[in-house]
Amino acid sequence: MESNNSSKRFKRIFSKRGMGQVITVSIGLIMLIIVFGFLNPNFFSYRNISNLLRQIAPIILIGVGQSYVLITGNIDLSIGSVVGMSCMISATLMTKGMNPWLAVCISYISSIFIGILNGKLISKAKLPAFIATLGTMTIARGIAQIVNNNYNTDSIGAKAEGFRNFFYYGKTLGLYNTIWIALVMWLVFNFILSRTRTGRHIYAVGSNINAANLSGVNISSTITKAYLVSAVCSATVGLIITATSGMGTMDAGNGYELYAVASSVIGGVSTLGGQGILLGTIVGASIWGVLQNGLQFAGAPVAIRNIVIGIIVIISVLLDIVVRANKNVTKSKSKGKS
Amino acid sequence: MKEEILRIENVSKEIDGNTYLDNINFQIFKGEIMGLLPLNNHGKSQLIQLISQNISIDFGRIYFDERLVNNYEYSNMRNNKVYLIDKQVKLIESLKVIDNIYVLNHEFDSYVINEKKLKEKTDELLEELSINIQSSQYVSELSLYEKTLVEIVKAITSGVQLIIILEISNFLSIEELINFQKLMKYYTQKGISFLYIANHHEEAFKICDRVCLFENGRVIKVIEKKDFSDDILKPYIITFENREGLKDENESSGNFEFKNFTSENLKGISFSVKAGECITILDINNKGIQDIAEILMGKIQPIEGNINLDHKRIDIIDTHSLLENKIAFVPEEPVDKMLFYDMSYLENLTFLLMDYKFDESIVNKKILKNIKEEYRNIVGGNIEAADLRKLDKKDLYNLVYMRIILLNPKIVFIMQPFSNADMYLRGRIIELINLLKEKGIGVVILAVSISDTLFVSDRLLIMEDGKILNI
Repeated sequence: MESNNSSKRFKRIFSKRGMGQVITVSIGLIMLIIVFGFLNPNFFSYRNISNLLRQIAPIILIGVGQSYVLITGNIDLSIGSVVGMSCMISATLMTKGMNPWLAVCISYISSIFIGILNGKLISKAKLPAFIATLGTMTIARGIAQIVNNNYNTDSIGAKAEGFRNFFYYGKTLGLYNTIWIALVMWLVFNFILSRTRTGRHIYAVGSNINAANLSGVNISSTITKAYLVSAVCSATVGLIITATSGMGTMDAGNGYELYAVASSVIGGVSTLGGQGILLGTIVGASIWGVLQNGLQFAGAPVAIRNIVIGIIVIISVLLDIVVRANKNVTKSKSKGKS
Repeated sequence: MKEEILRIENVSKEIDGNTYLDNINFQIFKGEIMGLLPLNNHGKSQLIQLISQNISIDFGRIYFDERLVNNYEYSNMRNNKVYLIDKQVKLIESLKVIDNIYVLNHEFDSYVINEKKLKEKTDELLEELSINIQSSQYVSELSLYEKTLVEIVKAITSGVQLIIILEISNFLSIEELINFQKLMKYYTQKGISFLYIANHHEEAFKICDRVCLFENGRVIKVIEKKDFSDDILKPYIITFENREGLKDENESSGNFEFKNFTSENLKGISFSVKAGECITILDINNKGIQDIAEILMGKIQPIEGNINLDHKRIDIIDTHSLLENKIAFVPEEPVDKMLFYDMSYLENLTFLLMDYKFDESIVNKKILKNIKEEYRNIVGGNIEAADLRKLDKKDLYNLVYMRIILLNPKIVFIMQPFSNADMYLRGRIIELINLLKEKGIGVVILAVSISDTLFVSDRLLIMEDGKILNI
């Protein structure tokens, strides 16, 4: 009787949207951690774990943003540039003597503008997401460059100590604030995606845009909301980078859009839309972080790390396509039966 | 002696342990229209595929044009000279009619295209067939009926000997169907054969020389033309009945009024529906109901006209405002257009609820639990289904209509409800529409073919050239 109940519970967990892949990937993550732990005993040291989590936090954030967009069946290539833009705007304003928190607000507003622009270009002007976000990627990078006349900024100074502690150096309850920021934002966005009407609309648009339209879902507003989340997450990561280095660098966030896609896809978010959960994005980002960290410990050069991560991304996407194809075979078989 | 174009001899085919074709035997002669009446859809697509292409079979032999082309020992995977005409147009929309008929044709072997010469040839051919289409028109500019005509001409110019016509009355109006069937008859005199797949025996009996009944992947009976009658089919088909019969139009003045609607193809149409009533608008030349559907989906705006619900004017029009005003729309073949296959059964069932009934931003688990328990009695264990792909079509139709019932709208517009549905599914759709009526929901069916709509309709309105006729 008890085993019957536990098998039912197990089935229920597995039947939750995207949970199957998350569990599979989590097993992979645990195996990676064990392997790297054996290769280097320092891997499990408090200091390394703590640094590893702080290293993973920004990837989780951009992964969350990209996951929202991917679930709607689109892609956001502007993530890395928005990170760079947020970093440069905040740092430039701080070096000019502006209150750091006001600079933070301005960085968020400008990033949100890019998010809305992405959403409207795709949903209203019907531009392909790839093209629209490629355009805004260049625009945002251009803004990052122009904001301080094509120079990286000087140090943001002692006045910004509070800002730096809040976003990077400070600790709360023994954990770095960066980790707390990622955790809180993840909780909020996970709640929105899994428990609210907006979340359902996001899944609906990615799953069957015509059905969503027929169900009265405001497609434009839903897609824009997804890009808005992506922009907010990217802006936060830009601020974390400013806090980390204490200055603004024009190429901050370079290539982050690919890390974001990697963490989402490895975690089971489908590039075809409609599927995936943010728990998977945490696992995906963790795999990325553990691989980076573990391979670094093992003395692997950057090139090898990139190749390994690239291979994992390809395998994840292939898995997604194979799983979807199998599901469609099941669908056509059930059609044949009726 | 008659020449055979196709002979299927004792053919069986299994896929993953399921028998889709079970000892099939039939032949089609040259210049013959053979009808196929599938009582259910099991094995139908496999049979079409098998006739078109020599895929592997588990048992039997297939002869095409009196040559053995496929047998249980060896299948060459080659395509036969067969063309399928269904709703899915296989023309290149961005190219002209001449390009589609002649250039995109494996018989065309010139490297340089002499457009003038081809145009003359195409115009001559179209004129001979009394098809009023400009050969230099782009396919995207043609209506679905015109595209179907171009497809049949293209098929024949490329040397096809057998054409499969799949449920054509689902998308051609009565008038278009008559003209299309005339063209078929013309080609049979030239030795072309047809396999005419239809859901209704009345339709098949009008055009076919013989008809075979097909159920669960088996040919259960072949009926000769001389034996065509309703009585011969009685042991095999379910007969539906209209519980109340058609009512007189004057009896009802509705609480929903569609007044003086004008668009490109609608010429000031007006009609009304009462709560719990079902009306069918039969568009005999397929010119108006698409506009009604597109107005309801917010794709086009009417030039004039208004909608009154309970004497209150409703300013539409997009799907969102329609649903806010308790007006729902079910498109043709709704399971692919209304359901989210990445969501569970319960999520699909309750999808519209949060927006249009409870107006809540956060999903209320308690409400969902109550709905789940309530609907478990109606839909059974399917309520627990996490993956809709594992459900059959009947269950998916149930889900579509239950979602509407749960929303409890005042009016539902249903576009061609019986399209592509086998006999058993049509029976279920009739039950579901009657359920809507019992719940006091007004139903407006938009159709180009009368099909089974009379089994649920209280009134029938005929539309011709975008106008409702007074009958």
